[in-house]
Amino acid sequence: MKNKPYIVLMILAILFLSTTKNIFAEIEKVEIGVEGLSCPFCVWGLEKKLKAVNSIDKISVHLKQAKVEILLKSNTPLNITDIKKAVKEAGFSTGYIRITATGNLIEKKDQILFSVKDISQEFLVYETDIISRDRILEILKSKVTIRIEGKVHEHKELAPSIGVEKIELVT
Amino acid sequence: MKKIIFSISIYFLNTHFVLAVPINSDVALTPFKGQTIIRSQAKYARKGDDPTDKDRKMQVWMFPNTFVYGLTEKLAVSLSVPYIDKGQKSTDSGIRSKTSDSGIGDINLMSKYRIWSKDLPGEAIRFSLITGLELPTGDEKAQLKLGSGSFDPIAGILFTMQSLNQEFDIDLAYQFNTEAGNYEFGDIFKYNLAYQRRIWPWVLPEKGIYSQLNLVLEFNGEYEQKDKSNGSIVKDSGGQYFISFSRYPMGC
Repeated sequence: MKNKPYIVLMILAILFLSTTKNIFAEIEKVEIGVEGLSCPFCVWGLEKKLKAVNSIDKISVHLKQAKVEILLKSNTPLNITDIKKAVKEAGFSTGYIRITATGNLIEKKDQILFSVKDISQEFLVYETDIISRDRILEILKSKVTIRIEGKVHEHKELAPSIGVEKIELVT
Repeated sequence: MKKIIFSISIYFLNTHFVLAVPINSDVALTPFKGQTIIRSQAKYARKGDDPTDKDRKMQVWMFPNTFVYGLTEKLAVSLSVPYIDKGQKSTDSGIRSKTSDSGIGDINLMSKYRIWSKDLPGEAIRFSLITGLELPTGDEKAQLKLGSGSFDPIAGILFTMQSLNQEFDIDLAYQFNTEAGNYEFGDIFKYNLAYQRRIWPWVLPEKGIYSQLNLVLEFNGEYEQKDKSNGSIVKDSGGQYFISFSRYPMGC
């Protein structure tokens, strides 16, 4: 019975891993800047419209900061068009969409993309003040897993892009 | 004749209960697409100071119930059904008598279209146009007329500037009254201003929907042209009315 504490610890670890969402997977957080949101009734209307978007699991509206934080459902990619449409139908404008996600840099057709882990959603990565072209190529070559925070933008006939604001290596 | 008006309004935003927004002024804000709003009001008006020997004194209770629906985030339609109860005391040949009438008044069908907007973080500026028609559903043959008996078009413009702390509204509307049964009520021009200031909570919570208490100041003006009966002007009709007051509505 000497092994009893280890068995209990193992069971607890298995339970923890099976019930806790892996924070280093998928798109961890989505923040939407909403303009025109200026009263509690507006918040209620916006929540109602966003709740109707299939990919959204949880919503938290921060009226003072004019932003909405959302959690996406498991294994669900970010649908920028649906979110913008919901905000518009609620009577407001989308200022920005910022995501925090973990994944890898990949190269496709001479373009460098950020591929989000598990859901394979891809975002074009471009050079910013935060990350230089050389650093992007270095990360691409090393195939290391990275965690990125940045604003996403839609483009016609192209994958959406992400303007990197924060980047860290995931070990 | 002097006219005094008191009113209170209650809103039902789908499942939310609200006691808020200006009572007599309309706002340029439109409901979101698919949203239903039911607004119930109670208005009391008293008219007195009759310069003639009849010394007429009238009191009117009005209960308009308005249903608003957002067809798109820019376009809303509304239906307003008023219930009216009128009572009048007057002196005829030295005898004081009282008459009263009650029933459904003229139903209003309106549309509101947002023509311009500017969205900023924590601030919304809107201009909207309103157009509509007052239908002759009220009994115009009642002794104290519950309706005009005519189809009367309405047009107007609305402005709203709303921020997290305050709101300012301008509402200008003109009602073109037409003739029915040889009687034509004078056209009405309504001009309303409203200002709201959040007084509670003093500091906004970081997240979620919260209750809000606003102090509202409202100025309501109305100019009515003289009525016409068989083509002749009815002297004791029309005029300028001002209604101004403040109150404390509660947000949800």
